Amino acid sequence: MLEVSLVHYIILSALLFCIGLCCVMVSRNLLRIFMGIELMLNAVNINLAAFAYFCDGMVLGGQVFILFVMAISVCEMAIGLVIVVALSRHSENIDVNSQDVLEDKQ
Amino acid sequence: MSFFVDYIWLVPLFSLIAFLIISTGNMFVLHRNSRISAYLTLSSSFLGLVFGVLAFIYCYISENIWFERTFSWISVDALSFDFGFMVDNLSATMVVMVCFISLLVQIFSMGYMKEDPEYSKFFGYLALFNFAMCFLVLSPNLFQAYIFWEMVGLCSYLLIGFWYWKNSASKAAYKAFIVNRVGDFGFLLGMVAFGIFTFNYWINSDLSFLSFSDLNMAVFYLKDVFGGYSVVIIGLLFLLASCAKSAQFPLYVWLPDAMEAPTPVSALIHAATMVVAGVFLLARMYPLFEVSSLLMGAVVVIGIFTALLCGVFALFERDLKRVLAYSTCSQLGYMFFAIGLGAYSAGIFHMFTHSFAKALLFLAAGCVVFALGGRQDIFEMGGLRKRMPVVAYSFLAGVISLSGLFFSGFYSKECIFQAVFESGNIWLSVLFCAIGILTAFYLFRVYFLVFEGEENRSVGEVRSIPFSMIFSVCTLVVVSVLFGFLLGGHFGIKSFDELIYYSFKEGYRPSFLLVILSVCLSLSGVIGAYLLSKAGKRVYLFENLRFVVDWFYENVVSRVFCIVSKLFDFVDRYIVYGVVYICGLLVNLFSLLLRSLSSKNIGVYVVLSMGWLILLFIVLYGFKELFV
Repeated sequence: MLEVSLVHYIILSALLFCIGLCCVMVSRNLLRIFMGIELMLNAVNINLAAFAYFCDGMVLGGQVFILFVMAISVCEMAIGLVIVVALSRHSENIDVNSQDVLEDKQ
Repeated sequence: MSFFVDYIWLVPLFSLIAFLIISTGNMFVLHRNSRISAYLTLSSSFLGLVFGVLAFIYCYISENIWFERTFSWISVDALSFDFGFMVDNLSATMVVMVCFISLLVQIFSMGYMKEDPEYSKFFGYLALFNFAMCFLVLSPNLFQAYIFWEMVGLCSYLLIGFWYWKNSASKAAYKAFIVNRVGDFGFLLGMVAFGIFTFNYWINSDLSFLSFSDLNMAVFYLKDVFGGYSVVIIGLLFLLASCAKSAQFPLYVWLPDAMEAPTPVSALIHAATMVVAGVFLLARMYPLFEVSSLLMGAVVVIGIFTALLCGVFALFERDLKRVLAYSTCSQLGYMFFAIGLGAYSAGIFHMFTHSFAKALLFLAAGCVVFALGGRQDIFEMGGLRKRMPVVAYSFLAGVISLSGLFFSGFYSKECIFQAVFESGNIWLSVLFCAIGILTAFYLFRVYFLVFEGEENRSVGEVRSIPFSMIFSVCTLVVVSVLFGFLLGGHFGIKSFDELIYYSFKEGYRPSFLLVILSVCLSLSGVIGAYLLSKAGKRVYLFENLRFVVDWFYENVVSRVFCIVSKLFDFVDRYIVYGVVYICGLLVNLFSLLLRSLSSKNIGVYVVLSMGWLILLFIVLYGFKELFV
């Protein structure tokens, strides 16, 4: 039976981060971009937890930090979703590339 | 008594306060053109005069004092630019002279400028001038002297162009300013060069930077370390400055035109005080000039050439004030000449006697111009002695003094004559005699044409002259008559060369034969002028002679200057600017490349930023040795 070590966690988190990044890069839908960002944040969280567990199990600094990241990401999501709702009411689509009201059209 | 020396900085301060009150009052229309401004200026000059006289008496009693008080104004490392004042016999005497003539001229102006619409502005400028001039003579170092040197130039410019609506006046003001700029440039360059070359000397001594005290040590240092030529070059730069301010040969052209100013200004600034600043600079920088015979020779040549040339111009001039202006140039040439010969105190003595006599002549001429309603052509005057006897006799006293026949001018001129004679150069003596004749000739020509002879019909009504004008003229007569007697070494009073000397007391006592010779020469000039005026001949012959120099400046110097300026303009426009332009162009091209990357697609930005981040990591990994 293979022992689950730190490297496995790091690979998992790197994969998760890349998936999130690809999601942000390629998608045009604002909701999907938010999902990508959320994935990236969680990848970081896995990293934090893994390092905390394997490197200094007694201090719990990493685990506490995860709570902060989660709180911040929740706040961010709340604001982000409000923007999504406002945008969809305003222009009836949430395609980021077509949001060009600030563009200088001369 | 030493209190007054301690507090001599109050002298210029009074004038500054007067100027500030007048200018702010004028600005806020509190007391526009009221008599208050005149009384303020007068009282400031009077207080200054009282302080100056008491300080002078202290200097007179004590033996050759050198009192200096400064504070550090700008200090960088070991270097410190000081600001303050310095009193020695020379500056104390100058302060008394400046305040005295200022006071009399201000009294005179109360009458002369009475109907001028910008009465208080005039007095404000006079107060400002008094401030600047007093601080100039009290300056303890070159740096401070330069500041006030510029400031008196500014006052001169403002007052020449006082009647700015006259085209000729504003042009004359420009001319004076630009010509003086050439001199100021010399001063600045000389000062900077002197400061840089002797930098180590000042750093190692505990004196303040560029201080006048112990200047000769600095000059010896300069000569030892950098050789004689450095002294010559720096000296020539200072000489250029003196030439511009004191209207000497290549740069004298502004002074005759400066006669566009109101007559009191001509008397104060362009005859008695500001124009002697050049001679004053020579006197202060005398240690520098003294070590090089080449420099002293240059001073002599410039002095004697100007004295001769301007004497000739004065002879053919028909404008009353311009004759006096040329005479001023010529007399300033005398002083240069004397200082260049090493007759330091004789030159300074002549500066004082000339200032009083010339201020007197200008004020008397101002009375004439005032009485005739602004006319200045001496051929349109004549027989005015019967109409205004007081003015005529005052003018005569000034003329006699200045031509060295009698009174103060006699003493100073004899001292210089003795110095010339003792120098043993026969050509200088001959030229000096010629200038003596010339001076008497052109001055008496003016006197005879204006005050004697047939009464000119075209004169018409003569305005009565206010008391204030007569008062200051008469006071000046008394002073310019007595000054020479008092300081001529009689009655147990210190003679001038015991009062003001550099390194040794010259003690030029004119020998009897020389006095006779000099007086006879002057008398021959007087007789010549008398005969000329009797014969009724008017010298028109070379009337346009003086325009030759102006023509030269206008057509040759300014053309050459234009070509040089165009060259510099070309370099600036196409080479300096071109380099800058090409740099800008390159940035522009590169940004064109970058700009093409930007699009509406947000994904591209994310990819790019991630790409840059990865690149950064790679680079950092590559240079990781640097960071560990």
